[in-house]
Amino acid sequence: MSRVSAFFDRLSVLLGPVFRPIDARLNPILVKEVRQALRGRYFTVVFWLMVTIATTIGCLMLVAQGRRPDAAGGIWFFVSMYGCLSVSVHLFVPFSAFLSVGSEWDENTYDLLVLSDLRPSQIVLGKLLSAGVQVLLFYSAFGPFVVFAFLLRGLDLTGAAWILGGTLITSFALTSLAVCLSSLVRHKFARVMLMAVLAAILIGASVVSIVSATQLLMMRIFHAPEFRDVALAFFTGALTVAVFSLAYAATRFTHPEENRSTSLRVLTTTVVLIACGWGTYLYHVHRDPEIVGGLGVATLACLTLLSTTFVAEEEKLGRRVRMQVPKNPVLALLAAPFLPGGGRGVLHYLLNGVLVLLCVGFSFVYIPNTRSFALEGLPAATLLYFVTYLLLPTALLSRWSRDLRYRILARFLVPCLALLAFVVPTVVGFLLSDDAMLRMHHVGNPAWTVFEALDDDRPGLLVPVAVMALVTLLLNVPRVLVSLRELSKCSSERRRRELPRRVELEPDAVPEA
Amino acid sequence: MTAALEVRNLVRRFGSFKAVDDVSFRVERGQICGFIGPNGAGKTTTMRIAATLDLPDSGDVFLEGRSVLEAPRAARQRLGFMPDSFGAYTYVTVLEYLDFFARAYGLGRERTKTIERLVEFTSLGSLLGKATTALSKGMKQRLCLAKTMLSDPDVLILDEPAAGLDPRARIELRELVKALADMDKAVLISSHILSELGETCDSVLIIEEGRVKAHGTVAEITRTLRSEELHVFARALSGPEVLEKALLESPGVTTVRIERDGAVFSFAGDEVQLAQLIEALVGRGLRLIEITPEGIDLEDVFLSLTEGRVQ
Repeated sequence: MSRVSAFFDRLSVLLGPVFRPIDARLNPILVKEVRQALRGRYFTVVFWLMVTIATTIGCLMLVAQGRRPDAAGGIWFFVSMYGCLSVSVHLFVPFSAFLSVGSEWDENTYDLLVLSDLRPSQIVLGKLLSAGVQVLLFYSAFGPFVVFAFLLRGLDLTGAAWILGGTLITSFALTSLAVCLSSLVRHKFARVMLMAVLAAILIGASVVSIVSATQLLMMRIFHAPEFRDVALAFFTGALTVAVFSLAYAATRFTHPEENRSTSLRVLTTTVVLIACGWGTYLYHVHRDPEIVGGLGVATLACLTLLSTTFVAEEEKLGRRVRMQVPKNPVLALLAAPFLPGGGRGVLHYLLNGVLVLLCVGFSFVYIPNTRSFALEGLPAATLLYFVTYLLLPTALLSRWSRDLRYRILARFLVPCLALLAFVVPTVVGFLLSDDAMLRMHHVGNPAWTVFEALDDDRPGLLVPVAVMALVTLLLNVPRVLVSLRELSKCSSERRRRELPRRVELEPDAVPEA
Repeated sequence: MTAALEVRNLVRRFGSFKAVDDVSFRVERGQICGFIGPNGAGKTTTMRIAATLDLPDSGDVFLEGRSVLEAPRAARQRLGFMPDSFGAYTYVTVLEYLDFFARAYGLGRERTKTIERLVEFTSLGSLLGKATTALSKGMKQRLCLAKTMLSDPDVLILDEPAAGLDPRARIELRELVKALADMDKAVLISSHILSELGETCDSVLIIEEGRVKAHGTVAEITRTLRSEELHVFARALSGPEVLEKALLESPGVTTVRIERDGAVFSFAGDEVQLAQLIEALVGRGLRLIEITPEGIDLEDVFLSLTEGRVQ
């Protein structure tokens, strides 16, 4: 025993200089979270429970295999094990991350973290990496089962690798989402509600992943070229959700006076560009205009959803952000869409919306033979609706943007307006016994209006929508102008502040000259 | 000269309610400033704003002349804030807790030495392997203080550090705070235990309903409250009645009342004249064994300045 301990002592002396610098650079949250998780009851119980269940199921399946050998025995064994792994990494690990962020509010440690040198991104990343360590522990525990499944017959190793890789990325995305949701609110009741929402999402994700894995293994389509595109699109989507969730969670850990918006705005534009890139690539490969039209609308819907935060931000810049406005007035104006503030949020939304439309237009012009006015116009017509839904309530309430309650109300009104525009005319139709309105054939129904206008060549249907969008834009003009004026003022303030310094420096420079 | 901590015209509203109303004060390096006020007076709000955890509606806080609102990250590096509630992590020992925050404050390889130094300073050596959640209140406060000092801040803001501590722990904490001031740190400390602050602090700030009622050294504040007359307790071997009679015959003595086994008298004069009176009494053969001027302490000041109104 003493020899063993002496060996390890010598080993630690030898390896100490190698690992100490790495240890000093490790994310502090990761170190703490891993320590807590491995000692905590939650992880220990879940880990051993899942391993026990997997072992029991494995033994039962082997017994069944022994009696009646099945050609797809390996697949069924893998699917059973995968079920346990999926529940562990899709349900329990993200939930643990949710609880971990929540405990920072409950245990009054959030303030201590904010006061430290840790950047918000480090805090969020530490939580995610700790969940990653737990996922790896689950993978290592389930690894022997997967190898055993391969030794039985029927399991495609490439397929298993795709599924396990996909599971890793999905778990990463779900954990990021859990961290984001938990960082949104501190109030216990609201967090319990979010916990219920998250639980539903995680259970759904676990079930879908098990069903999808079974289907994919049975269909054996892992070598098909279409599968590669679908898998790549899925991974891009999952990574986008993960990065967005982490970025949003990081802003929640940022000091309110600091810039909480620019990183999210840049990320949104990046996502729009990625979606545009995807659209162009898919159009180039498949020559299917529906893909571009559909992707354009989906991108605009996501953009509108994400922009509800930006367009309902406080109009005025915080003191800290004022110091960061570029000194060059032209640069300040160019940076406007990416700086915080509701008015600048409008510019950001319009910029990205135009970007999507340009990309769709480019895709259709790129291959003229497949030019389709109906599908080309689809994203543009949809954008008219989105502009009204998003910018009307926020423009009307922007005057009170300093008050958090009004900002929340403005964001809440965006989906409400969409719903009301859809439901109210239908109810009126019911009251007036108007058959067309009752069947939702009215301008409040974007699906009917857009397709009727474009497919049946009745562009007149879009006129009221366009007028409404135009009125909404006009209502937003004052706040956009005010926001631009503020930027110009901040920029000139910064230039003025720099001026005395230069004057002070000049006398020193003269003798040297 | 720039102060280590300067609060300038701070205003903080919660809706229509003004929690902090035009509060201004300064704390210099090596100075301990006591922050006193009834519950809900605005102490914690002011401290949280100074610690960059909250934002004022107007006004600003400066650390060595630099605004904490404009440069919160820079401010945090020079500032140590000890909140009134201890944030403990489950399944984490004292050593791991300090190690975590040392890493969080960006201490690299030197963190072991820093932790050792602070463990010695706060006498936590025997508790390093104990879970933070299992510590007593006094030990938690020590740990929290050690954590606050990890970054070696110039300014320390301690919110009710003595709350819930037993007398021994309180005395030990007081010594620690004094040691911090000796290390040339500016300390802003809030407490309900006024006698503690009176002994520890170089200056005192009394706040009520968000407004500053008094600010200065304990002596300066008590001087403003002192009346024209001195109140003195005297005791003589000849008994209280003889003393009372002698006092009533003395010039400058306005009232005398027998209290305990001596007499309390009011004297219209300064401390030099009081010394002359004592000489005269001894000269008349009165064998005095105690003369104690009844001073005004921080509790009296607090009670006279505040009305106990809670917002």
